[in-house]
Amino acid sequence: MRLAYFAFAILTLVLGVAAADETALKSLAAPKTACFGTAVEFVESPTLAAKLAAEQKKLVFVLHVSGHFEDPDFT
Amino acid sequence: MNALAKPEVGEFINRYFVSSFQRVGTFKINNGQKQGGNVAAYFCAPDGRVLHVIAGPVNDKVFLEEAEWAVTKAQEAIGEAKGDAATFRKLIRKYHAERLETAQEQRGSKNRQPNSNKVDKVLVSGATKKIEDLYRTIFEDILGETVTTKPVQADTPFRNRK
Repeated sequence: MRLAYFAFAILTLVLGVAAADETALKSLAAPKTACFGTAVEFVESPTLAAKLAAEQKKLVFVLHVSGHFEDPDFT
Repeated sequence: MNALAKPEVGEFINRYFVSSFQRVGTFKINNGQKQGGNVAAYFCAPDGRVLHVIAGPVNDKVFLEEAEWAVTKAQEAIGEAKGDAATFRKLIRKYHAERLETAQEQRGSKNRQPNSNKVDKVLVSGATKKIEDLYRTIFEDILGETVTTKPVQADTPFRNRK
C-alpha cells in the first residue's frame, strides 16, 4: 500500500514537471503581449524581445520612456 | 507617443519587430500639467545592437518613415555584408553618414526633425553598439533628460479626487 502511494506521488511529480515544462514552452511560443493604448504589441522585457526576435527573424524595437508607460496618467 | 497608436504604425512595427519598453526617466506633474519627460525609440538587431534611433516625440508620418528606413537599410546591409559583422557595422554607419551629408546639403529644410542630425552624428560612429552603451548619450545629451529610476513626482497622485 505504502509502495502504491509512493509510486502515485512520484508519478504526480513527474507529470507536474512535464506540464510545467509544456506551459513554459507554450508561453515562449505565444508570449504575453500588451498594447498599453497603442497599436504596438509589447512583450515584457527587452531581453525577451531579443530572444523572440532571433527566433522569429525580426528586429527589436525598444521604447525608452519617462514615467510609467503602463499608466497613461504617468507617461 | 501618439504615433504608436496609429494602426498603420502598429501594423508595420508588429510585422518587422518584436517590441518592448523600458522606463529610464521621470517627470513632474504640477497643477495637472506634465513637466519634463521624454521618449526615445530604438530600432535594433536581435542581439540589441542599435541600428537607428528616433530621439523625442514625432508624428506618425515621421515615425513610419524612420522605421521603414531602419528596416530597409538593415535588409540592404544584411544582403551586402553576407554574414560579415564588420562589414555590416561599416555599412550601417555609412548609411547614417550619408543621411547626415544629405541633411547638410538640404540645410534649412523643414522636413528634418530637430534631433535627427544629432542622432546621425552619434550613430556615424555609434551604430551597432549595444543599446546600453548609447542610451545615456541619447537621453541625456540629445534630449536633455536625466536617466533616473525616481518615481513620477505629482503634486497630488489622486488627480480625480475632489
